[in-house]
Amino acid sequence: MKKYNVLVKFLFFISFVSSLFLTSCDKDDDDDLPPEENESELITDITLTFSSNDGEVVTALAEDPDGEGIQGLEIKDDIVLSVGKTYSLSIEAINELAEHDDDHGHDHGYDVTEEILEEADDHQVFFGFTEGAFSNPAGDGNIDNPSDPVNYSDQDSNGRPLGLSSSWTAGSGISNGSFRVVLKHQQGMKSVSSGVNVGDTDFDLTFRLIVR
Amino acid sequence: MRLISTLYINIRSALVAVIVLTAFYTYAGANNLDSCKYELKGRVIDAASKQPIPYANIKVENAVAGVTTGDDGHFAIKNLCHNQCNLICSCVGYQPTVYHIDNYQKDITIKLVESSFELEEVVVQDKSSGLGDGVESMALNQVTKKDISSKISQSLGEVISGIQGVTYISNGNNVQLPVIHGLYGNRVLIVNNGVKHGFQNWGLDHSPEISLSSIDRITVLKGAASVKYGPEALGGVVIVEGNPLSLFQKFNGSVSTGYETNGRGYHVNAELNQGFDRFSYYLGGSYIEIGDRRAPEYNLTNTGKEEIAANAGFHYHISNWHFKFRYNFTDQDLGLLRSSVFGNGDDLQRAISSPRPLIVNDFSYTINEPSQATKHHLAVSTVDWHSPIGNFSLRLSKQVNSRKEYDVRRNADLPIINLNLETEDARIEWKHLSLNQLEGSVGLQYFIQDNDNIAGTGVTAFIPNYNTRRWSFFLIESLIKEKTTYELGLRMDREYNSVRGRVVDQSVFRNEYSFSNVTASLGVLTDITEKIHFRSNLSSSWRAPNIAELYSFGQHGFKSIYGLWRYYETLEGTFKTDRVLNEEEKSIRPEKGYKWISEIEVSSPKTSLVATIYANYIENFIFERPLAVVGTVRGPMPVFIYDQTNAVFFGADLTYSHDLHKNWEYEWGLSYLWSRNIDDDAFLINQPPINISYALNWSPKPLFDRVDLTFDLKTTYTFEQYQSPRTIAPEEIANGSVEITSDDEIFDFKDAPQGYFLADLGCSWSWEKLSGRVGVQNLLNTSYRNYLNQMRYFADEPGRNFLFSIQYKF
Repeated sequence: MKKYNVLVKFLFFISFVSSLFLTSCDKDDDDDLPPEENESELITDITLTFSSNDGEVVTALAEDPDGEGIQGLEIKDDIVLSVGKTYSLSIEAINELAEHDDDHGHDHGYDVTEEILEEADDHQVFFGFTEGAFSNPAGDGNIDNPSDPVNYSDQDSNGRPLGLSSSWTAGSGISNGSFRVVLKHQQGMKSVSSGVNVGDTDFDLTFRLIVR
Repeated sequence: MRLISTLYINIRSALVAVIVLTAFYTYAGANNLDSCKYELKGRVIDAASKQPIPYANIKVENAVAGVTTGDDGHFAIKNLCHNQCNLICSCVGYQPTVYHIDNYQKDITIKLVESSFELEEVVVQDKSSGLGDGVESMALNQVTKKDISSKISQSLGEVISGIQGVTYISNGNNVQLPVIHGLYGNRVLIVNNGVKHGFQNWGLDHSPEISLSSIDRITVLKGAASVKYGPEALGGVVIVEGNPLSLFQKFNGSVSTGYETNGRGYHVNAELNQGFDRFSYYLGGSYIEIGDRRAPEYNLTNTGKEEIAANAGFHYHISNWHFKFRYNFTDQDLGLLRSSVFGNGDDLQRAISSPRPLIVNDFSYTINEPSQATKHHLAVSTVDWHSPIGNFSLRLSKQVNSRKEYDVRRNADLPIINLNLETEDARIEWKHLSLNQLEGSVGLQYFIQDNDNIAGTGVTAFIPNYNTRRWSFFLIESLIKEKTTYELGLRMDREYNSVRGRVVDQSVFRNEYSFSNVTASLGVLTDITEKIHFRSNLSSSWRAPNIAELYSFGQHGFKSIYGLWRYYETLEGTFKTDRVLNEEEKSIRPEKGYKWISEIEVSSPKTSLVATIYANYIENFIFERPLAVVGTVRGPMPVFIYDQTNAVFFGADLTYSHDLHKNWEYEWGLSYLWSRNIDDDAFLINQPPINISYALNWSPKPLFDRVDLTFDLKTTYTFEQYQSPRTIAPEEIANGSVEITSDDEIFDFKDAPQGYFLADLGCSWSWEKLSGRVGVQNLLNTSYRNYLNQMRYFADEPGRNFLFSIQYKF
């Protein structure tokens, strides 16, 4: 009787132990793929579109075609504006490497701009440019000093500027100026005084600026 | 139950009973003319159950031959030349016993005690690790439960860092990886209850998910013990063992709790044990919560930690069989310093050059991004059979490791990394009977891992899905010749990998590759004199490149890094990353290490000197090589590639301890390491600097004759790391003043920090069933930065910390 008990216990133990091991073996599968993701962190294309009241449209593209790859960023266009004209600037950030069909029927990649809009409370675009390139705003932009004037046309839910759209009146002629845009991600840190040195940089681009 | 109650025997009485009870000795030589005519008869029984032990080995000391007991435990030795000798009695599963025979003894019965007993009352005479064959010739150090129990809230890396030659590399206060002789990560194997701890072991920011509350003993093997434990032991092995599951123990347990001022951390811990003659079990659990730590001058925002751990096990024993099962669970939520996040060179430059972290908030227990949430399950079962031809051991294990990492980003509520890793391991080992002083074992092992990404991260999978299968065969033999033991080991591994990943446009890449390797080990352990012991071991080891070293792609912090199969060089000498390579296009060689380690131990009753020297040559050593600076949408960024080179490590560890009169003792320690990338004649990064320590212990007379007290003071001086690579500030990369080319030396973003002196003070006490400790770490509240902490770029180490703990044992 005692022997029998021992045997039963032993068999129980062995089956217990092997079930532990074998359950895992069934599901072992060599062909499962990582899930497809909407790549929302990466930005490959940033387009600055200056539209004037009279229908003139100036676009400037900065492109990092391979995203995280080793190929570098290319500033494709100069920004060429006309003296004295007023433009509204809109900034669009796209991940062209994501083949994404969203509700709006876009098939040109993943629109990161929408995410920035959704989290406007944590983001701000800062601008820096050659002094005198614009008559309004005057000065050289708010990168060096956050209180310097920039004409933001949009704001977040707290009434603070966002900067995906803004307004610019070109000043006198400039043949080789610069125009820098910096998007900061200021999670929980965006405030009236938070400048370009607060938070993490999402993009930081410098274009050649010509006003003629 | 009837059986249990009748055969229940207290462990103490069992141990005392190792002494002879009855003996039978036949004095066969009536005259001494023929000197080898003595004869000896006796019996070997289990000290606890009084059952005879068959197949136990009985050997006369200094003689070659031995005998084995029969089924009824009886043995007989003939042709003895002396009527006085020492009998060495051993049997698998029992503690070896030396039994002195002289001609006054008439009857002998040798009682053996099971090796699974807790050996509190037994003085361990030789420096045996209890790890078995094949590693006795390696230098090792152990940390026992007694030392761990007051440090439950710390990490595995921190607890073993008191050992010379051992330290930890960290990514903040909560992520700490053991470093042995300058190697860490995939170059130090972590063995958790017999099996390789299966976790996301790549990069510097993942530490093993092992709760200190589940540990009974930690052994640090400083030799490359790959033959016994498997690949990745290039620097050494950290062996973590759980509850010994001793039979014959009364219902016992402990509850403990503690509080620490820095981080306002607290912990509770409880465990229960019980052992009968055939069955034992344990149950344990712990909870730890720590808030933001504080450096002497500011809060370290988001450095809290929360850990829940539970463990249980049972042991069942019938005649020659032992069945053991264990289960460990650890759930960790670890905060990483908030100020360690940056987007580009300007942000990093600001973070690095600021004397205090850029974000300092009020104290909080809340863990925000960046953080890591991990869960680890481990189940191990073993079956041991003490058969007539030796000990067979079957071990099966399964681990499930889930890891979620959260980053400061637009979708901060989604994990940026979400992985599930399952590990299974089966091993069968036969430890053969001793044949002419030759002891050893052979075994087969099958190891599988399955890594899967979980959907919903919003980023392309950083690490691909993969499956690994590895077959291994090993043979370990040791030959004992008087005072010298020779060890020899051989292992063959064959590993298959299948990888499926996605590139950024979400198209799939696949690869299959395999590695084969033979590792060998040779060692000697000898007593030069009674006071001088020497051990020396030469071992090879290997590891396959880890998944991050093969497949990393793109930005990680302020750099872009590409794995070995994610870049290639064109004929024109330019580097491209536009496709994923495979085994056929680019053959990757595994890392192979050759470590020689020798230790000499000179001891007298009052003093002890242990000197360890080592040399380690690693072929195909994988490291991060700078390649260029490339423009990105975030600004210019340095680009690195994983590359292979050959590296050497030389070093020495010294410990000198002295027992002074009146219960004072002190210990000096020194660790020194010199390492080099020999192909490029360049320094390696993140190597431990020279460290000197001095510890003083004082155990005064018990207070009121009842309270035992021990005061300890530990001071260390850590030198600046002079063997550090050159520094290039992120600013110089951002503004283009530094050019980086593919044949440049490695660099760091910040100079190695200055040397620093630290002092810890503590007092441990015990009174009957209560014990406790009051301690202070960083007594002088020194502001310093640790070269091996990745957070050294941004913040100081924590300041003064008072720790209180109390334990009640029953």
